[in-house]
Amino acid sequence: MRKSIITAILLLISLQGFAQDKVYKASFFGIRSNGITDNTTSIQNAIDFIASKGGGTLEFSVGRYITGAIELKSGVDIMLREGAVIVGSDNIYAYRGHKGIFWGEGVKDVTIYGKGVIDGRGPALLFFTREQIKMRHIPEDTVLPTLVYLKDCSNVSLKDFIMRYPATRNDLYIVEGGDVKVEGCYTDIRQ
Amino acid sequence: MRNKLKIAAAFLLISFAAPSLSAADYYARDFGAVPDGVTLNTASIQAAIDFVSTHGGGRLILDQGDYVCGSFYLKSNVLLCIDGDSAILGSLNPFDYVRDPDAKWTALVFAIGQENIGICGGGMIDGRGFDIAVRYTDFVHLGLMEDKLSNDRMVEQKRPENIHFYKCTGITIKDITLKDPGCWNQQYDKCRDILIDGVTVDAKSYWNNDGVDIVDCSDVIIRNCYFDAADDVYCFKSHSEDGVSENILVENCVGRSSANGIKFGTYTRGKFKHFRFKNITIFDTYRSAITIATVDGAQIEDVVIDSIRSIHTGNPIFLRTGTRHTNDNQKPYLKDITIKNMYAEVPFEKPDAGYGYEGPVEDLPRNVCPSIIAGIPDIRIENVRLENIHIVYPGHADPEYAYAGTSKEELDAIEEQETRYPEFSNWKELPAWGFYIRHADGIVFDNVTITLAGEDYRPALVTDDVNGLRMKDLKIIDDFAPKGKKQIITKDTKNIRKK
Repeated sequence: MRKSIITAILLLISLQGFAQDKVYKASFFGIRSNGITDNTTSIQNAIDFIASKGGGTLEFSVGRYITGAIELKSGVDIMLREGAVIVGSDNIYAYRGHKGIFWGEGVKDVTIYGKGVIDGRGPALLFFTREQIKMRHIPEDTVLPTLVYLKDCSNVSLKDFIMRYPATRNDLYIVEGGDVKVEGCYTDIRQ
Repeated sequence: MRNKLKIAAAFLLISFAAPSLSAADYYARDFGAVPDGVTLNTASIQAAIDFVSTHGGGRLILDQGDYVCGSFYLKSNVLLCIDGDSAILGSLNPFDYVRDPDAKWTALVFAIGQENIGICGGGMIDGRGFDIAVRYTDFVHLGLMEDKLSNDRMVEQKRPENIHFYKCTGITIKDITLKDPGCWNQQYDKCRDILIDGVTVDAKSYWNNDGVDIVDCSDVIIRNCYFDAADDVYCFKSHSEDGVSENILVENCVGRSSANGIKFGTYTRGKFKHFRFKNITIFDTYRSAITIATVDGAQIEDVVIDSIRSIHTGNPIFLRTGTRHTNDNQKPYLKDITIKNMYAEVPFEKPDAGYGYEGPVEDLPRNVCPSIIAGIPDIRIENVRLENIHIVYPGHADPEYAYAGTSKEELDAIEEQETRYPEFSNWKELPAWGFYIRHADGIVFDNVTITLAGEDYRPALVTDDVNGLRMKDLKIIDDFAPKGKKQIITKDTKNIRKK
């Protein structure tokens, strides 16, 4: 009897937890998994929409999602299911000077998690950027995006996903201040 | 011998019987169809087909442009002839498609219970699959259609295939291009006497874009075809326990895929027998060149794959049994498989990188997988002959990244995964670089060479619970091996012969 009461309480707690955490499928926002469509504005609008509804999770299923820089918002989690690959644009202008594919400053309560991948396509992006610098379209000290850039964030965690080919070479992600947990993430780049 | 004769007789019959469609010529334009790439022509084309079929049959010619169309039904004795400069374009409105109540699938061109039918003429069927598939998804979000959107896409049966023929006899698909369906390209379900000749498949538009699906069909020839498909190239399936697929020949074909080349499965309920493959090239393919799997109770026997090149393809050979959806009445088996005259190169990098709808990155971390013959204790794989084969593996296996050892305990710890969807990557890291063989009887290597192009910490061959292992002229070339590296590990393996 006591056991079942405890179970019920636990269940209630976990249900409450989930009730706030509404999961939105990427396709709801017209985000395409085809590896061709640039999804930058769709993903940003998705995150803004979910934030405006009080938070939730944006779920990426298997597929390749091309994107430029995306600003994280408080209370919006990113779920990368196994086989989902966030593919960084190889066009430096898609980052608009931001320091990460996913970037957040002063945000709180965000988790990026799942067995998916964030792939910065570093070599291709670096090649394009060098060309643009050579043509003097952009300054030599142009900021290159890492995979995830977090500044002064609190209660943010990165969990389980694979990180590969950041344009920032050895820095898979960059944290400046704040409280960020990284667990179970790894890179599968092998020389 | 008797089987061989039977197969030969069946093929002769098909090749003589097929195109007796020479009655009269009709033009879709004469029935009001407008090939302007805009007008919806479903009603005119259906009326034309019905007219031709009820007036002695003949060719219905679609010429002078692009005919936008929703679902229509081909009828007996009609040969749909799409002219070389013309095409059928799939409508972009989901409401223009039918999910057939008998076939249970959705398609652009249906035929249900018809005979002596075909599609030819040098033209194209373009399902415009990406646009229609995402519109289906949008309709679900709008609440106009219902679907679970598992994997964030509509279930396969509800998305339009280019061609779906069900319970038809005497089918000729010749000299056409099949482009970008919303689902599988061409499904023949419970059909007989099929000739697919000179067909080009260009389908990387959306998930599940298979090249060709042969489901419970017999007397089938596929020849002189070229496939570029996001999902499996040649798919042999069985959707029902009483289904039989037999006397099937695939020859002189080239294909590439972000899944498998030759695939038996995944739905494998009935019987499969007497399959012949000749002169097949598989390239830039993500998963296995050859996957033969029975996981839903199927009985698979007598498959000969002769003269096959597997270039820049993730895995050469994957044979598998399992109990994904089996029931107690079934007696599944996988036996009498011959693979001969094969050359295969496995790359270190992802073989399908850069193609539309690349295969999913999954089951990581793992180094490059070996060829796999993996039965389960209750359904052993029997009589596999590997003859005159050369496989080159890339090596560069990093034990820090992924490791599988060969001690008894480590080999025993490899999970059976009996009920899992079968893929060569299921086990992540396996303990061999060349072949991993488990729960099998009667495995013959005859003049097989496996070459390693880079360092690999694993042995070449691991067998576990194998009865009858013949290694006649099995050559292992590993120039990177440290002195004394043991290349062959045989655990619980009986009746080993070296000659």
